[in-house]
Amino acid sequence: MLTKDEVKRYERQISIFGEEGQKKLKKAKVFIAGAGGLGCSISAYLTVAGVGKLRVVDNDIVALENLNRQILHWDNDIGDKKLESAAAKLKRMNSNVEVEVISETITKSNIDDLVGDFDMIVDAMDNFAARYVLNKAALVRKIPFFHGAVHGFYGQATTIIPGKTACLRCIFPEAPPPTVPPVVGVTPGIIGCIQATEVLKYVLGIGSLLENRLLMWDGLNGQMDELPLEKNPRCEDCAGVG
Amino acid sequence: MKVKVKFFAIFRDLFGAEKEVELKSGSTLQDLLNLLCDSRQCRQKLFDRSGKLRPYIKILKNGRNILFLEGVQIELEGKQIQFLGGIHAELADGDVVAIFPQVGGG
Repeated sequence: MLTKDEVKRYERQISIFGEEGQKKLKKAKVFIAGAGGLGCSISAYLTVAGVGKLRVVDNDIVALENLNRQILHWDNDIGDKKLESAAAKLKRMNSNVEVEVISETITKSNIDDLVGDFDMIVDAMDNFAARYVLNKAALVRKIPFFHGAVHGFYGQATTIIPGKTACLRCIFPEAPPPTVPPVVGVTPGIIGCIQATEVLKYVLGIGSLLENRLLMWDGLNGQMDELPLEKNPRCEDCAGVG
Repeated sequence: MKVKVKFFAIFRDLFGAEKEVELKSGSTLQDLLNLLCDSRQCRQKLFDRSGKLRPYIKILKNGRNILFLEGVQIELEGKQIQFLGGIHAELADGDVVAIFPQVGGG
């Protein structure tokens, strides 16, 4: 059920997908891995859209050099846990949304407990080692995995549906060497919004998802392209799933 | 023959967004990459020290990941002909090759 306040709050989007759609969003439980550049924009937009429950996992402390892009963390949050900082802002954005934060580093051994019974996983990580752990967890549970990554003015996103699309390991079989990439705040803003859009469409069952399509954003030239993706029949992570 | 090469993300800083390359007929993807990498900096981005394509670089040929382009053997007029896959795949006039790195930041 939606309250009278909720119907008012979401009226401009209820006019697109109806109260039934809004109820679907209210029931959704979205797991967001990371509260950095991507995590801030994903969680902010899913919060204002009225997704019922968000679980955000991160283990970092807010630092001055984060503030050019991690828009939920502000000057007076430096030194605080990113999670606490993010949760405080998200709750003020929309008190209807249940925001749960867990301060952990995502690993192979804790991922099962962290994801629990959540319906989908959103990738807001900054490294491929953690992304592969999330990819595997999504495959095992047969839940969607919304990938996003950024570098400078460039970004990419795709939606992985286990059994149906290429998985992250099919697309990127090996991790690149770890680096600290340059990032302009607008890029995770844009890519995070694309990932959040995918989450909304998936929950609502509308539109076409970025299935087997890698969307490539080039902010410097204002260009968006998409590249076709396909399953690797010999993928070590997903061969046999589905 | 001519092939079109499209670059994405940080490769655009090195190569630009798109190039049309003239190649001898029978050229392979490896020949194309060798031709494109006219500086040491470019070579280092694409290949490791032993000259192998770096594993986190993706190349699509006409929309298909070259890793999944299997080598096939066919029989033509009684002769066995071997077509190689991957980076040794032959290119044809009008092919479109997309090259992109693995973007990893969050």
